[in-house]
Parts: sequence; C-alpha cells; structure tokens
Amino acid sequence: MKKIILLLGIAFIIAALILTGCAKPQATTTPTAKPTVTGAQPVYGGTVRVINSAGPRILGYSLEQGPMDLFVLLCAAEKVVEYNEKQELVPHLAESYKIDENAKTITVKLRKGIKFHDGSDCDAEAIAWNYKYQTENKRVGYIDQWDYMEIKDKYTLIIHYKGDYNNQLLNAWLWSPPMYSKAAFEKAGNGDIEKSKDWARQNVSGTGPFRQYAFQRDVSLTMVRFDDYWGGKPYLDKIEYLFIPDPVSASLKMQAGEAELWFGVPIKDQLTLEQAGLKRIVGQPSVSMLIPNLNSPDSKWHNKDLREAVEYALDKEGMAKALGFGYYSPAKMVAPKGVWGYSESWPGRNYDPNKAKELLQKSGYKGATVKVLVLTGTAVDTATAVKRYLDDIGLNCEVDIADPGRYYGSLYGTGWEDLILGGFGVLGNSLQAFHMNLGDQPLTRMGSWSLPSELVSLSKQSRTYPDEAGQKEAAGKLYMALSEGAYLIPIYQVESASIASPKFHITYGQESGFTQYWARYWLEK
Amino acid sequence: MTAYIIRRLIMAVIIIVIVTILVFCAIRLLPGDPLIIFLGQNANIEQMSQERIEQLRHEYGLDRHPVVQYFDWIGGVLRGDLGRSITYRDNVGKIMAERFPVTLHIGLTAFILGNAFGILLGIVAALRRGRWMDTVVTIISYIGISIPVFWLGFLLIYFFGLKLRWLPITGYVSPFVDFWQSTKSIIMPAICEMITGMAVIARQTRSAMLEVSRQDYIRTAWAKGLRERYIVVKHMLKNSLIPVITLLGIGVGMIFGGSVLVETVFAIAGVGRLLVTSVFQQDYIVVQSGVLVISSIVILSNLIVDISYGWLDPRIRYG
Repeated sequence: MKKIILLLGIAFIIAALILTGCAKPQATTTPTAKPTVTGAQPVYGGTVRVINSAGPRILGYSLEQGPMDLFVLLCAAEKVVEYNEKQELVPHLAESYKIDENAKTITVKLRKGIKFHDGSDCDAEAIAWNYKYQTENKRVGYIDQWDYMEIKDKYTLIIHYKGDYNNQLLNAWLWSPPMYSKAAFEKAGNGDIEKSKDWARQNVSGTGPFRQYAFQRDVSLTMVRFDDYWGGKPYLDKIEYLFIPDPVSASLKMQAGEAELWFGVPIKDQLTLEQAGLKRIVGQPSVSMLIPNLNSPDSKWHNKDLREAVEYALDKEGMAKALGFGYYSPAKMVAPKGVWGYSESWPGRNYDPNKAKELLQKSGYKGATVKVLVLTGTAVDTATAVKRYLDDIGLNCEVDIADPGRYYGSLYGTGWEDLILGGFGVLGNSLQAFHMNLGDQPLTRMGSWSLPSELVSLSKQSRTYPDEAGQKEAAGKLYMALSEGAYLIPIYQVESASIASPKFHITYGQESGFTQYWARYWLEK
Repeated sequence: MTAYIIRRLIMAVIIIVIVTILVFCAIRLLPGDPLIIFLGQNANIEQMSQERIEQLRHEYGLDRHPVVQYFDWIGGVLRGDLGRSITYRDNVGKIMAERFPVTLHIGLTAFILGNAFGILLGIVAALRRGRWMDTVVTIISYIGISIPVFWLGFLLIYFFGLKLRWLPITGYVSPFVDFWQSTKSIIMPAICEMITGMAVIARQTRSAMLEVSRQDYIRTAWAKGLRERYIVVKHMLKNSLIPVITLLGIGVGMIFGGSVLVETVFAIAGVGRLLVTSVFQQDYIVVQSGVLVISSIVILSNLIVDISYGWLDPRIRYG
C-alpha cells in the first residue's frame, strides 16, 4: 500500500512538473512589435468588454468622484475642452473658448444641440450649474482666482477671474470637471437634495457617446450607445466594463477571448498577452520615483548630498532591465522622455556607487536608517532593489510594505518618514501635470512633499506664459530645477499600457491624457 | 433541552459581543485614517482640507469617543441600521443585501456538495480499506487539504475556462436571471470553496467509520446476518457522524473564510470581496457589520450542530 501511495505521489509530482514545463517560457528580451491592422474599415455594431481592476465607487456625483471613478466614465462624461494627440487643448463641448487678459474673462461658446443622456439640453445654464457645484465645494484648482460667471445667452458662458493671467486656468476650469445633467439630478431627488445625491452616486447622465444601462457595484458597468450623441453615431453598440481585481484571472479572460480590452495591465501580463497575439496599446508615460520627505522640518532629506547619494546609488538601467521585461527604460528626469521639460542635455545621475558613498560620507548620514514606504504588489520588487543599492553604499534601508489604505493615506494625507516609492504621470501636457501634482498650488497634495521654496517663484512664473513656446520653455526650467536639486529621485520610465484584442480598433494612447474618444472606436465583425 | 438552548443562546450573544469589540478595536488599531484614504482617492487638495476632514469625521461620528462610537453602532444594529459606508457612501445593510445572496449561493452549494461528497468518499474509503479506492480517496483528500484555494482556482480557470472553454472564467449570474448560466458560473468557485472541507470530512468519516466498525454491536449486526447497506447506514454511519457533524459547524466558518479568496480570484462581488476591499479602505462600519453578520451565522450553525448531537446519540443529554 505504501508503495502505491509513494508511486502515485511521484506520478503526481512528475505530472505537475511536466505541466509546468510545458508552459511557454517567458522572454526577458524586448517584446515583439505591435500587430497592426491595415486597410480595415470601421463597422457599426458589437459589444466591447473592458476589464478594469476596480469599479467606480461614485458615478455621476462629481463632488465625491475621484480619478479612478471618472476613468471608467470617460465614455459617458465629457468636458468643455479636451486634449488632442498633440497635447493641445481643443474645444470639445465648447465650440470655442477665449481668454481676454484685459477683461479677465474666459468666454466659452458651447456647441448647439448637445443633449445629456436624459434628453435635457447641454446649454450655458447646465454648464454653469456644474461650475456652481464645483466652485462652491472647492473642487476646481485656483479657486482663489474664480470671481463669478455670467450666462450671456443660451450657449455662451463668461467666467470672470481675479488676479493675474494664469495659463493653468483652462486646465483647471475647462478641462478638469466633467459635465453632468442638472435636470436629471434635480428630477431624481424631486426637491430632496440628499435623494439627488444618492441617485447621482449610482447613476451618470452626461453627454458622452454612451449612456448608462446597468451598474452593479464592483461587478460591472454596462453602457449602451447614445443615439443622440452630438459627435455622430458611435460605432459600438455597447461597452461592458468588468471589474476584475486579480490580474491572473484578467489575463486568462483576455486569452480566452472573453474581453476585448484590459486597462492598466501589469507589466508581466503585457508581455504574456502580447506574445499570445494581443495588441499592446501604449498610453501616457510616467516615471517611477522615490519621493523624499521635504516637509518635516527635521527631515534628513533637506540635505542635497544625501538625495544625490541615493540617486547615484541606484543602478537604474539594471533595475529597468530586470524589472521591466523590456518595457521600462532608465529615467534621468521626472519628466518622461518625449514630453515638454525633458532635456536630452541633462546627463542625469548615472549609477556610480563610489560617488554615492562619497556624497553620503559628506552628508553625514552614513549608516543612517532609511525607510522606503511602498505599496504592496509589484512595486515591492522595485523597493527591494532600492534597498539593496542603498545598503551597498552604507545606508540601512528598511522597506515598509503598506496596504493601499495606509499607502494612499500616507501619500496624500499623513505623510511618510523618509522615502516613498511613487510615480509621476503626464495626463495632459507636462506643464499641466507639474502644476497639478508638484506646483506651488497643486490640486493633489502629497503628505510629505511640497515644492521647495526656492522653486516657488519659478513655478508661479511658468503660469504667466500664454503661448506654447513660452510654456514649453517654462516646463523645461521647472523640470531641470527639480533634477538639479534632486528633489525627486527618478528611477525608471514606464508607459501605461492597455491590452486589446486585434479585432478591436482603438486610438486610446494616441490621445493625450485623461481622454478617450469612445465614439471613434470600433470592433471588427 | 430548552434550558440548554437558552443558555447557549446567551453564550452566543456574549461571544458575538466579544467578537464585535475585538473587531471594533482591531480595525481602529490599523495605521491610517479611513477619511484620508477616502479623500485621498479624490486626489483633490481642497477636499483634503482639515475643515473637510473634520466635517466628514463628524458626519460619520468618528470624532466621538470610541466607546460612544461602539454603542452608537450597536444601537443602530439593534434598530436594524448597520450604518453607512465611508467608501461607498451608502447604507451598509443595502450593500450587504446585494452581496450576501451571492456568497450564500456559492457557499451553500459548496457546503452541501462538499459534505455530501466528503461523507460519501469517507464511507467508500472505510468500507474498502486498503484497496485501490481507499488509496484514491486518501490521495484526493490529501490534495484537498494541502492545495491552496487560489491556486486551485487558477488551475480550474486555465483548464475549464481557457483550454476547454466550458465555463466562464469570472463573474456570477443570479439563478433568477439565468439558471443555466448561473450554474455554470458557480461550478469553479464552489469546487474551490468545497475542496478543503470535503477532504477533511472524508478523512474524518473514514476514520470514524473504521473506529465504529470495530465495535461489538457492529460485529453482532454482521453475525445476525443483516444486510451490509442496513449495517452501514443504520449502525455505522449514524454512530460515526458525531465527530463529522462537529466539522460541519466549523465548515460554515471555512466557507466564509474561503469566500475571501475565491471571490477575488473569480471576480465575484460577494461578502468576502466586500470585506477585503473594506479592510484595505479601512471602512470601519462595513468591516464591523460584515464580521458581525458572519460571526452570528457561524455561532448559530455551531449551536445547531451542538443540538443535533442529542438526536444522533441518545446517550447525550443536556442539563
């Protein structure tokens, strides 16, 4: 009997080994080229199933909506202006917009005939209602510059601002807030504002090419074609968002053909799925970086030598190669390669452990304990590599792995002790990204990092350029100053990527930032 | 018997109160602030103002003394109000009502099938002791006990979802919407949830059956020339079930514990996934209320198990 059990056990282990061995080997070389479809003509119809790791908590109640909520609603909610593929702000719900520096006004002329999903008009009154909510609750940036707005006629809205010209007002006021139906909101509550809010948390009524059909929290969001869409009939009939938290399940679902698009794919799965014949759609670049605690008065990170020592200690190229499966590249600046502010001439701080040791010695922090706060998951590998390099130069690095709650609570709220591993992405253009996240009046505050006082005037000045050339130059100065001061320590550059079925034609990735033109996407029969 | 049940019910209430206090304290000991986590997701500096945080803290009653918070919550629970989720900005009772039927559907299916197959396999193994069937059952039960549930989930998805395309990889369909699709959607999750319990039950049944089979009254039954089926069902099985029944009570807890992993792997929005999300978000009220409901069910199941001993073994009497 014992022999039989032993033999069966051995057989099981051998079978398991054979099964494992039969799996496709994972290449660590540069991934294959993107499959391209040429000559295909758009066709109407079809349902696209889209995988996202998490569903929205809040749908159409903009005051409680976060970026992750909005991301899956981009097919339903639209803004007054949008970014195009050249990183230019272009009118979207607006027919045109104009800033008058002398009168201190922004005049928005809306397109005529735009309808919300509930059938009500998207006119100046509806837009003004959205702005009223946003400004009263301080949801838009540069609120101190907001004076008042006036409805000139049914399709013209004039926003009056205070203070000096600010090139970020268009981003903050016209691009950031999505527009929702006033009529639907008020009708849902029938005079009871709390009822209206509860309705809006679970429903969305925007102007986008797809309207809400069904929503099951944490399960799915089904959107169907909005036949009255102002931009013409969308190609797809339906979009079904599926919220799948586990990447292995999501990857298998893509391979099985049970979904056509997967947003925010982990790097390892990008490689697997690309090798399986699926399409990799490259989106906006971002830089993975170490963010030092510059806010605490007694923080050791005010010492530039220490910050520089850390940057010189990191073998960024080695890390990018080892961790990125061919998709990462070493980053020398916080501005990703190819965007405004990236400088080819800046040499960066390349791996030089001896120089790192010298600088560490000079800083007086040799042997000091350094805590790196990191979000649980794939970033832990990066933090582990960082620890090894920092230990090598004579620091005592401790990796502190935090669950999302503690991580984001620290990043955006309570702060961190030494370093936090984070990322910097460019959604619109890089000047806008700077002001939104890093500037002297950021929309997103970090718990232990704010713009060093010596860069505040440069930051303010960068908002005064109305022309693109001036803005580009200002972005260059800002990112260079961040690099020279080693205020942020870039590690490697990542391109956010989605994976799509070869039959699904999508231009997302070519579009800039937080923009998806769902009316243009189509599915082969 | 009635006195015993009343005593156990009082004990159950005490245990539930202790559990609620433990969970209430444990979740608050975690580093981080649920409001900052919630507001942090808005990624809006103005929303993170101290004024706004304090306003929300007051709205959720988090500015009060923890003892007051506890009694406020318990008071609400007794009135049928489980509280309001910080993350979902909705009533917890409503959220639980959405999630519970899903977990219960899969869990009950796994519970019934797992126990039925477990007992059956245990009987077969005991009756065919030392033969190939016993060996197969032994191997299956060892695998069932040792295999990580999430890994089994991925294996099932790989073979039945990806390679054979027989079953949907993720998701759940209500039986009231489409019974056939619903059955297909719960096969793999139910297998994952039942496997460990089934294996343990099979081992326990086998061992108990073998123990009973050596008893004098079984030998007497054989000597009397009774039919095998009668001896097995009437004499052996019933007397072997007491330790197995104990495991059934524990199995209810295992079903809810397993749902945490299974619902994540199969992207099913049940109570398990809700609790995982809520722990990460430090959504106090959802965690407290979820644990309260689950612990009540587990304690009640164990009470039923304890009472059933008397039916299975007349020698057991409750004072």
